[in-house]
Amino acid sequence: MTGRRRKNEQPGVLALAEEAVLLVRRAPLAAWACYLAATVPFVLGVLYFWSDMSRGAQAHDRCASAALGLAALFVVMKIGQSFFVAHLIDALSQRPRPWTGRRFLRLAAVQGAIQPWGLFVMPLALLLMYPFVIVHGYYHHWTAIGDGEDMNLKRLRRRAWTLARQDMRSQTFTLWLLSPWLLGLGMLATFGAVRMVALIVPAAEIQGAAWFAIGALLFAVFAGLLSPLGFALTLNIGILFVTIPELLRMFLGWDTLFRISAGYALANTTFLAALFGVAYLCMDPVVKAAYAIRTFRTESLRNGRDILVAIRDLRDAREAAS
Amino acid sequence: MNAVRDRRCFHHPPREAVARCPECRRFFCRECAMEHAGRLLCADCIARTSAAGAALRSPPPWGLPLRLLGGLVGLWFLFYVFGRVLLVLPTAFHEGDLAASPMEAFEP
Repeated sequence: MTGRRRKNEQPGVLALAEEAVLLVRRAPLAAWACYLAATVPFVLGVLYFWSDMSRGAQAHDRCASAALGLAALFVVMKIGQSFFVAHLIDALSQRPRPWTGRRFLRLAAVQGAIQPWGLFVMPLALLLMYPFVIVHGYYHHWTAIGDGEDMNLKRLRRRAWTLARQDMRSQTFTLWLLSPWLLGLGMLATFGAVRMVALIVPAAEIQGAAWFAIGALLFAVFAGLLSPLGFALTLNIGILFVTIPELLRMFLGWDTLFRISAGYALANTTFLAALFGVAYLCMDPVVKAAYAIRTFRTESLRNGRDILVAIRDLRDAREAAS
Repeated sequence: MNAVRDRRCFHHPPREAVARCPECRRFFCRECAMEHAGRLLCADCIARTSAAGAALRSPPPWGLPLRLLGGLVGLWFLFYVFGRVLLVLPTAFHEGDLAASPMEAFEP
């Protein structure tokens, strides 16, 4: 079977997203535990850092040490995410590779050496928009291929770069549909646009809940265009955040600060950061799964592993039938 | 492919070239070009790549830890700058100064 023919058999972009969701649901418990144990502390750390730096009376003194803690949590998160993706690729290839302490250390070293730079390069690429697809793909493929089996950084870099430039159309669509980065850009654009409106129109002319209406409209435009799934998800999470304090009062009689000053809570920046944090936790595993599938499929064009999986499936089906 | 067919082997001029080495960009005959790691290379480039590969397989012991340390310092700097930006913004901004004044509409 030629490479061209097999390339044409690649699933469509929507099928890829659907397969990514299915793969995430099939992920083993150990992979999920590692993913959440590594990612949730970073998200909580960012929220604590954000809240502390925006309100803390002595936050100046803690800024440097808190930033160092956050940097360490970021590296831990990337290691956990790579472990998660390695399990997803094992599930796709039906060939679980043994995990040893040495392999895990190698994975940690490779991911720790490369991923921090992504946080510098990706926002810059996002500002320029077009190269973001390649840069985003490059670092996500690093997560997939830097699984501790190969320590040759030059070879890994070449593999990641080759993978990131394959099938740009599918990759662009995956990014648009699933990536939380574009949702973040949409939220920032909304925030900036609301400030622009405030500069143009005197505050006295916009009263009551009109600011929320303007904000919601701008958010629907920016986030809806840049990340439709992220927009729907954020809307749902926002409704949940507002509803929970009301439900607590109705069913348990607990009157919290979040219910008493719901309007103020909605307007502060930590609330928006929390919305994004939860949306990130929902979207990121699916993005990782989509890139795991891409990596597996693209590398299968050379090593034929997908054919081995298909043959194994056929053999199993025949054995089950007989 | 015409470009390859019209060329002659770098080592054996009477022979027709069948491949072009992606490393040195020279043309080679069937005998001189060999497959290595999924690519058709000439013997000299295979020797050079293998030597470089052997050197890369045993990276200096401080290579990765230094990169990790560099990444951590870079991240620390990035988050520190982010923290300073949050500190510089006035509290009213974080509390939603635009919406805070007419918040009475939402008060119970």
